[in-house]
Amino acid sequence: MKVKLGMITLILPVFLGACADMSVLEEVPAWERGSLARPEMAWEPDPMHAALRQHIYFSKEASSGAASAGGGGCGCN
Amino acid sequence: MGGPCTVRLYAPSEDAGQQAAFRAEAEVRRIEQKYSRYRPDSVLSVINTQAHAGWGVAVDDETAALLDYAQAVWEQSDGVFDVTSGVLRRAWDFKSGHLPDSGLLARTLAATGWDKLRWQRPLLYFGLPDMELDFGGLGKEYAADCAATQCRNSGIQHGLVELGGDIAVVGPHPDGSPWMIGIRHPRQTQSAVASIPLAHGGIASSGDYERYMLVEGRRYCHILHPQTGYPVVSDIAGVTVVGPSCLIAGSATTVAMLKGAAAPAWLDSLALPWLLINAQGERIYAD
Amino acid sequence: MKQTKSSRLQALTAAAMALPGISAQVQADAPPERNEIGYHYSQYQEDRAPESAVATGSKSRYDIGTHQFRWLGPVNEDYSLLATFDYEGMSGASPMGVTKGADGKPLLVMSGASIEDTRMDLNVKATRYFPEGNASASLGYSTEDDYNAVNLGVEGEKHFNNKSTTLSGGVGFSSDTIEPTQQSGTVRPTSEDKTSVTGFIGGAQVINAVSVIQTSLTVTMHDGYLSDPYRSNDVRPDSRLGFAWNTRYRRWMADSNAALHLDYRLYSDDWGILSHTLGMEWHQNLDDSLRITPSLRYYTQSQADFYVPFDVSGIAGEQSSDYRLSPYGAITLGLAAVASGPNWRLRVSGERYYSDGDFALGGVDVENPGLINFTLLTVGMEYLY
Repeated sequence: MKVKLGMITLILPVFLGACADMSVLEEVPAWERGSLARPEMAWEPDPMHAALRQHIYFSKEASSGAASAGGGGCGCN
Repeated sequence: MGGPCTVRLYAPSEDAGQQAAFRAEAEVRRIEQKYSRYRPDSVLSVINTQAHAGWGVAVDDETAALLDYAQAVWEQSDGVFDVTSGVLRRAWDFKSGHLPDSGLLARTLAATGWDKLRWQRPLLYFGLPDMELDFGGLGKEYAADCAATQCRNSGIQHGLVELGGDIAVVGPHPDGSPWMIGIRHPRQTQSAVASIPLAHGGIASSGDYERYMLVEGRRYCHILHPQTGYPVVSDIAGVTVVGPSCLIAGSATTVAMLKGAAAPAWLDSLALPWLLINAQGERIYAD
Repeated sequence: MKQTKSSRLQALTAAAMALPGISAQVQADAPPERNEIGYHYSQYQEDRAPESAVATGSKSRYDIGTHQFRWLGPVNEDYSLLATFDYEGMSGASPMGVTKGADGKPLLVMSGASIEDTRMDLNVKATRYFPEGNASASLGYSTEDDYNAVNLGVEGEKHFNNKSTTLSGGVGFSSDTIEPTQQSGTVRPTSEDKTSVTGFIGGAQVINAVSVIQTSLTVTMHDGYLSDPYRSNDVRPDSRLGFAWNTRYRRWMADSNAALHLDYRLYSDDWGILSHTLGMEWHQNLDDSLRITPSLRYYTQSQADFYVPFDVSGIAGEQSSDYRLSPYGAITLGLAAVASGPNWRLRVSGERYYSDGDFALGGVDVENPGLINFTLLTVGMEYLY
């Protein structure tokens, strides 16, 4: 298969910036994780809308693939 | 357990708030009973009566973790924080106005020292029959942290738990702003000397004002050094530490009181914010 | 507070974290404490195809109204159940092909009459919780006038280091059947099948007290009839192997009382499609009960190897002029608001999607005239009991 790896570098710097945080990866004590438990910090704060959007983009664009195993296709692609 | 317990919470409903507060209170009672010196059936009493016999006592996971923690503070404080030093109280009577009998103090001092017991999880063995454990320097602060945990487990995100002046934060105010914690003046206990913002973690204070006696004009506070058997004579009247948990903040204040003149250097090595107030009421701090 | 952590403090912190009453703050995986029921209604509307882009047929594109129902609740101390049901009514015309206009520019050949269809999709997922993770199994059925699909999946999560690290993985299977609506004058297959298998592995890491990151790799294999039966000259390979690499980052901005979301996906498949998707959301709390979320999404894809800008009839081999296989880029702007109380949430959101050849990384020579712009409006409510 043909994977055009060259283009990845265009986007990666965004996440390298984020990863700079990880230079010292100490375990964060439980009592300091209050912010992480906030609902707006969830991977998907609105799971219903996220499912709909995923379905729309799956039907209207050529790409697919999220970190989940469920869900079916539709007669739209 | 050393003063009133106050829980301040933002809850989605009165019911939810009540339930969280109830769970927090129950947790404090549970820990108090488990580690009470005065209850003969407490885990601590069982340890103190049985750990010198045979192979010692096998302790539960929570007690084991507390012992591990006590050992860590003992190591990090070069031996001044010692949960075996409670036995020194047999020689000290702070209500008497008299210094301890030197012979009795020497005998209790001989039974003091973390290095005189053998701690190999889950077995705790006292090398000497007179030894005993006292979680006075840990229990209250640990209970505050656990009570905050119970609030969080009840779905509360914003609040704090205050237990005898030490505080564990459940979470900041709903708008994210920190709680403002007033620090008492060690001599004029009705007035605050500082106000410290606290959004997470805990804060604890210790001082020579809590329990002390005056003998010939000298102040002897209840925090006893495990190597001398006496309180540390120093200029420090009170110390406050902000930590990632109330427990760590509390142990740091105890160590600071015992370090005397070396307290600022030791607190700096922890890299936590601290505030010292000397006998003249002057503030020395690092944040 | 000082940022540098001393080794002394680390020693104390490590010992304190082992205490059960404190470490219990990292809660073991458990079913939700309350039941949650939700209903959303969304109106999806594609802009009409411009006069200048259509050679023949209807200019109206798809309108879809979607009712979403969701229920999530604990079954007992170890299990939870999630059920979702979608009901969609759609109408509109769709492109049947692309032809060359007199000036050499591509023009859409649209279906004549408006198509009406309904789609129903039911999914049920059971999750079992363990002290250090969870496992779930899901079953789904989707049906349209001309389409049926059954899917099942299993997935799981395992936590490490007091939930600082989470590994996840899963597999899914889907079996689809299409029975195209027949129309006189066209030759369409009567019944075709495809099967799809998906597998993913991922990991999430708590970076510090305010940020977490998750990355995952998804592999999908499709096998069977993958062409579009409603297009006049659409012949696609009978298998497709795709890879998606997803990375998601969440950061709490205490000073702003907001959460930043950054999502990136790299997708590549053996049809020659390579795409990048970058998503950004800013979840701004206005007070304790109101949050607004502006969002921005950028998408760019390369064309499939067998994509043709104009249909060529009477030749053998693979070809498709479907805009979804053409090179283009797209931008979505969105704004959402959620108001919440102790046992309810109300949501409204609006999104606007623009696709254009000029948005593609590297540019496009011949833009497909079928590219869409759409508006998505949603109102929803969730109730906890």
